[in-house]
Amino acid sequence: VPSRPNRILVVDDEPQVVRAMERMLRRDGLEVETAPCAERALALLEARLPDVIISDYRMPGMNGDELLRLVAERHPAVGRILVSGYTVQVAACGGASIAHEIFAKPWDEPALLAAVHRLGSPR
Amino acid sequence: MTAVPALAAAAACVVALAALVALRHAAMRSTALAGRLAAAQEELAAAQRAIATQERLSSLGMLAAGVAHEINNPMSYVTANLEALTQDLARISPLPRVLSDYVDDILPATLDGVERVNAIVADLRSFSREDPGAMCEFDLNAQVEAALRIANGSLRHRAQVVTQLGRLPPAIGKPQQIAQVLVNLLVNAAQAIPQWGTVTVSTRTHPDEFLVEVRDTGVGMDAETLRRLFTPFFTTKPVGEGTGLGLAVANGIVRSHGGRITVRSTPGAGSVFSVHLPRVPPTARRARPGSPQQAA
Repeated sequence: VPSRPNRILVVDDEPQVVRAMERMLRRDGLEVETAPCAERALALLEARLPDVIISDYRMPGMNGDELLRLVAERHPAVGRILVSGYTVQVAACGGASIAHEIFAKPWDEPALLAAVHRLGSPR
Repeated sequence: MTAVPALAAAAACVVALAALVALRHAAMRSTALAGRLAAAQEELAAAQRAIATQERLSSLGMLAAGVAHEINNPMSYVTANLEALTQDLARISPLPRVLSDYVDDILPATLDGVERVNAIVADLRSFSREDPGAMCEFDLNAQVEAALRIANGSLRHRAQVVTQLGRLPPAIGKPQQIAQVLVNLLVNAAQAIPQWGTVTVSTRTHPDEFLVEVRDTGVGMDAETLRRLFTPFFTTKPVGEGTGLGLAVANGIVRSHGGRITVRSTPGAGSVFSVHLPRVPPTARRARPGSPQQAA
């Protein structure tokens, strides 16, 4: 079994951000599902588990940190990445963020892909 | 009875002398008072100037934070899409002349412009002073690690990062602000290194204070740069790479925790920024610290 991730779930309320992220991941050979909000993401997670979830921080309704907390509780094997325009504020939650990795927008493509592969591989 | 007028005259003389002495004392006192008054007025004026600067910077910071987030979202897909286009075009061969110009020249220049905008916004964002919340107990080493993750993009192409984290008791303060200080110091350390070097981050504790050191093997600073280091808008970085706000903000944050930043630097050899934080910040001494915010 190749130790690489297959499925990634991208959560962001801005459609163009979702599309750019999706394109980047597909080009890398990954299968991508998307959700415009945390609630929709949780529904998708119940249907089928991704290897990694990449979520925006500020979204209408539940924010990214709250979403990732629920993911950590319900599906601890899923890799958790938080992406935000408010990096410092997220770092805020500090070491305390539930995310495995935090990225600032605009993201660093090679670094983000590397994190996806590391977190998505069986740990 | 000649003695009486003489005595009276002598007495008058003594009285006059005493009055003169009193007058002189009064005059001296008033000179001293005038001096103290002038000094106090100068102090007051300096304090007013400082407050005005602080207010200007703080409203600029609030504006910057909001604007930065709004810019970062579109810039994230503009950057990603431009990178994708550049890579895809480069894979097609042979490429019509009109498109090869884009691959060789136009798209790299465009990406460079985009990177400059991103760098400016990142600096402005780090200047933000949104409501940082109350002071709470936090793990200083965890903030160092969070800062390293955030600064990773700047560090990994320039330096080997060495971390020497000591065993620390919980710190009290505003963890997100401390992370912001450390991100600023780490990014500066990376930018001070021309090609490849080492950035060493260490933490340790003394009886009264925590000490976080960020050490780089970069270009170092001369005396004039050291003197102006914490002045807002002072920068030695090329246009588009620095706003000159990072260290001014870092200094403000550390001082608001009752601490200080000290700097040692040798031109050509590197710099050491030391953040001294009191074990208990003065403003937290009376209030009970909030509940720990640590999580897995």
